Amino acid sequence: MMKKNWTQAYKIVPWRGQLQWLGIMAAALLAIILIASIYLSVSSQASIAGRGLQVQQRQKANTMESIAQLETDLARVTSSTEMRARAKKLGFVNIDPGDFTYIIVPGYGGRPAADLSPHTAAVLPPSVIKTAYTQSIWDWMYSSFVQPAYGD
Amino acid sequence: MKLPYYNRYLGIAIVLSLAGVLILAQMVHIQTSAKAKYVTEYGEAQSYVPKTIFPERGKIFDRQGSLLVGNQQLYEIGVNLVDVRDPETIARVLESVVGLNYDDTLAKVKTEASADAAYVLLTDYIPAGKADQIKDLMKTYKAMADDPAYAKQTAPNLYGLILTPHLQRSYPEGSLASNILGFYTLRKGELSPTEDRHEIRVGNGYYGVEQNYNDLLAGNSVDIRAPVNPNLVDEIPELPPGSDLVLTIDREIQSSMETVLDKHVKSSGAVSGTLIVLDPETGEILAMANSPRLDPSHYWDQDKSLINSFNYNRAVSYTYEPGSVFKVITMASALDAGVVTPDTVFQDNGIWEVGGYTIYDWDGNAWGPQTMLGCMQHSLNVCLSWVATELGPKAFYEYLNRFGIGHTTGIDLANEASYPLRTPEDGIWSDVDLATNSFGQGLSVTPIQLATAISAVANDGVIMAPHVLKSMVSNGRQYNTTPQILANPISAETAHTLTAMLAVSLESESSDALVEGYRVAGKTGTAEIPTPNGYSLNQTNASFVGWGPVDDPKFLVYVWLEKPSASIWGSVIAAPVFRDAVSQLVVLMNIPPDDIRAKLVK
Repeated sequence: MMKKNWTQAYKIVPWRGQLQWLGIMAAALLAIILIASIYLSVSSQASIAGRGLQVQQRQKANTMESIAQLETDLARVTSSTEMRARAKKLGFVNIDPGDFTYIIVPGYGGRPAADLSPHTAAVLPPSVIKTAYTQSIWDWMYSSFVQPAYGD
Repeated sequence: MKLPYYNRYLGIAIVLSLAGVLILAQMVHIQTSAKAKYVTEYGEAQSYVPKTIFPERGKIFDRQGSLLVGNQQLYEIGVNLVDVRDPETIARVLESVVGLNYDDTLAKVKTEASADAAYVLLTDYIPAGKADQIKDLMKTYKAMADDPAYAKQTAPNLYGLILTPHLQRSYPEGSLASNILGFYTLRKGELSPTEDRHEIRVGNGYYGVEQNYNDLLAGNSVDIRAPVNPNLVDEIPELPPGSDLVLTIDREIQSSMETVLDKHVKSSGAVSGTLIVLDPETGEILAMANSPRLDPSHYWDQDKSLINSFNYNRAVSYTYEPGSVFKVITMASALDAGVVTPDTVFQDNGIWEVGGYTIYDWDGNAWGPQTMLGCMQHSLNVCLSWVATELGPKAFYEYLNRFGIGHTTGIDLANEASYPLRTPEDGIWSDVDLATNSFGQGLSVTPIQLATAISAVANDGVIMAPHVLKSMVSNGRQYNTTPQILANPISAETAHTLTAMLAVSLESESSDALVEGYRVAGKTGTAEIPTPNGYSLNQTNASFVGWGPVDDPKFLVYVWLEKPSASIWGSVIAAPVFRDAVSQLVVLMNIPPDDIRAKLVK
């Protein structure tokens, strides 16, 4: 009885029903705008991060190339020809075999052979990009709210 | 009661609703139609660019870790046609900085952009220094454009000019050891495929270490689909660089040997020269010099006659008749078989008749009674022919086989050659071959083949496999090679006996090969050169092989000078090369003179 009276009271004033519809529509529109805004915000952030990643990948490649260039430059300025020329310029001369004085130095085994291996190899994780940068908002929501976390 | 304009509102609502429904229907249609798959695939294709990622090519070091082959950053220069605003400035800058032709560049830059021509390549392989000059100009022009003092329309600019860095092979030591290292091909059209037996491909290692270890140096490339859309950006796979190689070559020894060889090739008027230094105990090649040789950084604009499978590294790729240095093998075989001893006497009458041919000594004279030491000291062809005959063809060729004559040594350098040895089992072999082979004629070897064979005499009768790779660095780990025994053709006693004979031989002759303070053993060689009209009388191959110190050999040096004009004799031309080489070797290898070494041992 009470419910009937309540409905009747609403129906008495037509604008109340219209206002209700308007409210529902506005709420729906607001929800859509909200979701779209979040989507756009996340997408733009992902794009910026992705773009940054591309730039860093190029920078990394460039840095590796610069290192190679510097190694070569160093080798060039310390090459056999260059070093001989510099030694000559500084007044050094080739020693005559007869001018040597040989002594025994305990533990000295002559010039060591090249050892180019680092003591520890650099270990990188299989993937350095977080999944947040590669998944869509729907994937993110699914993995965050629907899919149980590891160990749950 | 109907509202005013109710029908109009209703009509508009129906039309708008229908439009909405139609839009939705079209969306569903697009998603589900037969062409939807094509559209999706097209979209995917536009989102990704196929790309091959090449790891950095491995570097090559000498035994002490000095960089012999590295990589350098070079630039490709091109234009994005649609972005070009000032083609004249681009052409002018590239003319002044890079040296490109102004008119050609201008024509290219003014090409109308189209779907097929969005980017035009202007030049490539520009050093980083020149690229930096262009980058500085870009900044300067940008500052000018931003400066209110300049009208934007009149300020020069380089918009659209793209500089793309990439790696290329670099040889910081220039031509040093180029015959060992080989080279890496850079550009199309630099070498015609007809200049060699095989096609020259771009981006490939050729000759020497670059070819032999090409797969190791190159590493593994990966084909990926690089996303254009930043939303789809994915991680570029982490590629390990190609393996770095450490060679047995010593940069200082190599440099010294090349200097010595170049000097003697010039002074002797020889066509070419080859010099090998190896450690008989391990088979490590310490130096392998060729003269002439080319700079692998500019292989395309140098003597192209060197760029073929025979001439690039004559030490391993060129077979020749060695002459009397081969007598070391013959005498070693006969001593080991017990056919002769150092004191065995041979009556040398100056001629030896065999199979209808007559063998003469080098001077055509009879040397009378000679011990085996005398035969080696005076390098008597007649005596060695007799020794080989005493040994017999079966045993002689068995020994040659044990020494590896007629086989490749398996050295880890590209294009090793070998000349088949005629043996009694072959139909074309005759008795005279036994005689001529005994003093190094009628057979062909490469310098490395004979040096390797004779290294048995310097290493207690054991031949170690010759090699240039000392270690390999891959994925952060260094893997060292282990010396391998190739053969054991003679006993240690035979090796010591022959070494003593050849040391006395040099000392008795007061040879030009002798090095003050160090006792060395060795043998000269003067070989006539076969021509279509028989053996040449005026042109010879002068060789010398020697090792030392005789009580504990640390090096073996093999010298070959081709067609010297100053003198035809190995004792005059090649022996001094050995002396000069060893004089520097003992310093660089820290080998004290014999008397000091004896005191140090005590």
